[in-house]
Amino acid sequence: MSTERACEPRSTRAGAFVCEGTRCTQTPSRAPDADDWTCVDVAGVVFCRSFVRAAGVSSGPADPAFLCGARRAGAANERICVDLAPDLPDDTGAYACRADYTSGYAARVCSPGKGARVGSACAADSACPKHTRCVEGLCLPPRPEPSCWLDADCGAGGACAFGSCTEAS
Amino acid sequence: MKRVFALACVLSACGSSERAASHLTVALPAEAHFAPADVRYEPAAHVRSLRFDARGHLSVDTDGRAVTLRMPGLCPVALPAAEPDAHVRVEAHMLFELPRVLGQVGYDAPFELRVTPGCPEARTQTLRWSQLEGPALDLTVLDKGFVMRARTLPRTHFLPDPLPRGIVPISPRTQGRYRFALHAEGAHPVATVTVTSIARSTGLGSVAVGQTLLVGGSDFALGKAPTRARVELAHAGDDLTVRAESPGRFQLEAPDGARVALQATTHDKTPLDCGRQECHASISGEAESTPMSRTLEALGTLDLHGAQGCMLDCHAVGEPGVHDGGFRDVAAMLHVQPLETVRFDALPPALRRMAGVRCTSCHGPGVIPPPERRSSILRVDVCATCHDAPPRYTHVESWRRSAMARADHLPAQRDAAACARCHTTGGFLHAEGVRVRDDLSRDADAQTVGIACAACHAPHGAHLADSLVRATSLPASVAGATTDGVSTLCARCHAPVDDAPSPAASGAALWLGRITLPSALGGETLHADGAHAQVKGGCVGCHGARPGEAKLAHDFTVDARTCTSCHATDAQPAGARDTLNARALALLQKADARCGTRPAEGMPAHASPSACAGSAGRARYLAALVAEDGAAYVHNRALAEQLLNEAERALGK
Repeated sequence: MSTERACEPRSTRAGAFVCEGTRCTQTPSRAPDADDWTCVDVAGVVFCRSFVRAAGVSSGPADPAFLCGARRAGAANERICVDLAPDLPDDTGAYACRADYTSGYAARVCSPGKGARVGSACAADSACPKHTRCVEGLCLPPRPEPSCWLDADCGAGGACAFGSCTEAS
Repeated sequence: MKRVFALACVLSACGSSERAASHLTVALPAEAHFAPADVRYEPAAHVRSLRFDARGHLSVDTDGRAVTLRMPGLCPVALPAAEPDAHVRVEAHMLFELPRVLGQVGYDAPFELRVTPGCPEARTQTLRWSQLEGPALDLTVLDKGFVMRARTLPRTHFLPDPLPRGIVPISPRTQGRYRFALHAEGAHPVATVTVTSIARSTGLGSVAVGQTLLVGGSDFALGKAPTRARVELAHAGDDLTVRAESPGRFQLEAPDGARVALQATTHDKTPLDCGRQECHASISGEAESTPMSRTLEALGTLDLHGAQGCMLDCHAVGEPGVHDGGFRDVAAMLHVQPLETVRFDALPPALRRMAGVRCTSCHGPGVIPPPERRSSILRVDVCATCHDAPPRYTHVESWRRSAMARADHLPAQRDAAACARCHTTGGFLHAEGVRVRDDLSRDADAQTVGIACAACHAPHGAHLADSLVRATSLPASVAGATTDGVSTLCARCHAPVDDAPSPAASGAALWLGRITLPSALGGETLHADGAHAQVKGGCVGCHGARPGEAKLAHDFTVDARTCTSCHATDAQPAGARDTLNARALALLQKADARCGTRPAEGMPAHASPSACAGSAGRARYLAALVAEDGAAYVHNRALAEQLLNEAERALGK
């Protein structure tokens, strides 16, 4: 059985970063599709939640940058999507980013920042963010199965790590 | 000679196909519009490949040597020599640079279109201007056509005095809209420019930042406004305009106590969570599949900056020339540069949200108005922002000439629920179960709506086909008849209301050929086939049909040429129609006398409903069925005469 792999430039689905000094803003930020989403950036991973279809809008094909799944114990049609390699102003990777909705528009704001993040180089698990492990020199999360927004979604003894349930450490 | 030949061979080896290509990207301006086949380059042998990349720029692979590109409408581009595997970016410029939209210049206002040459080559040409749309203006052309000046027409050319008090609804027909073409060498115009005097407006208080509104009543002044709000009020003669330059709630106040509430924001900052479970879940779901929501998507492949660019005015969100966060603004933010064509599916999600007719297109960006002002959404002015654009879109213009536009001009027609159900849009929708509220007579914004678009068309409800005709069922008085969906809708008002003591209308019932009497008057069904029941198209096969035209004239008058498609000569013997009508009126008068009913002077019979029972009541009802339909002879002469014969028998008892 053959598997097709189609690729497209990431630049086509979101705005470009505009930098003022060291602060760079991407407006609009990348979203899984045309619906209304709430997204957060944790340790360099963007995961998003949506439970309301954008009124009258045909969502269209999903952004291939995201992995998506239905939220456990969530409202009907509630979805979780994860982007493990979100947009950055440049290829240096040394940024701390967050979602910003204060202007009324979904934006992604990045500033220079240090600290471990998913994909960072590492020598041991201790150098990696919580719920990630050092695998062949990189901090990697478990295999993503987007299904949670909160720890409570994963039940007793579970934790929500980058949108996927894992054992609480 | 031998040495030159050796040198030539060396050069040939340098340009051999084994050399890695140099990759050059030509960044094209958004207005550029051509196909790869239109590109000319020299020397041709230096170009290995040429294509548009995913972002709409021109990607050229060369053998490293310099190349000159010539593209339609653009300045020549000199691609430099480059190393193997080098990536070089070059900017291209339009030969002639000018704005494509000049919005909100004002009524009776001068404007100037100035062409900026993109390169010296542009200055070698002489430009010409022509007007494509709008009332003819006197154009002053200067500087070999690089400057064009004109003056827009006064507001009174489009909107006569007096203006309605408050926000004046503005449609394409009344906004003072003009379109010009710029010509250089060549047969086709190099650009078209749209100039508008003012932005379109639904007349609702939910408006976009940057949208100039015309206000009826020059005595209004800014009252309440947020701290540090930026609102511009301007007087032009006796006219007042207002424009919110920042988001927020504003209020205009007049000395007589009149108030105009405004909520301003931008389309792109308005959340589209209207479909939350506790809010408008079903409406949102229905809206997603309507032709209005998909009006841009339905095109499949879009030519956003070509001939279809003007389509964005109504097939996407936002007003041209206004930075209101609409489709054009979001496209600019995303640097979307469709050159040849772009598939709708390939549009970024943020742009898909602005495609088609969205909630904010009609309801406006910003907040939901207070309950006492929500019925203003039913006014034809909302639909007129797109459907009042002659000569192509004449729906609203012809509707204004119809009787339905004046259906609620009397207070009694608006206030009484039994009347409002067919004389007002809100009353009709309430009777149909679409709207809960029925207190429209107390709605500050209800004004005179008539039977407007929203009565017959369901923008987000059960509908028939692409025309969004509201799906409904036949009233009980004509149950059992077989007809099309449009005629079924007409029958909701043009046939007797279920079990009402007096028939308010009967034209559709006569045409359908069957009427079930109220149970109090016997309850039987009278029927007789009429020839016109077979007319293709049903009610609108005659009413509003125009020979040779696909569109329906929304004044719903009958064009006599429609009759001659079947009738070789005048099908109505002289006086026959009048004789039938006179007989019906005479019988009605006799029945009124028996019933003791006093008909209102100069009003139709149903304005004086009668609950008269017995044979007199039956006679009155039967006579009224014919008297209420001035075209009874045409709709169904046989049934009309049968009804009158029955009425006479009842009066004889």
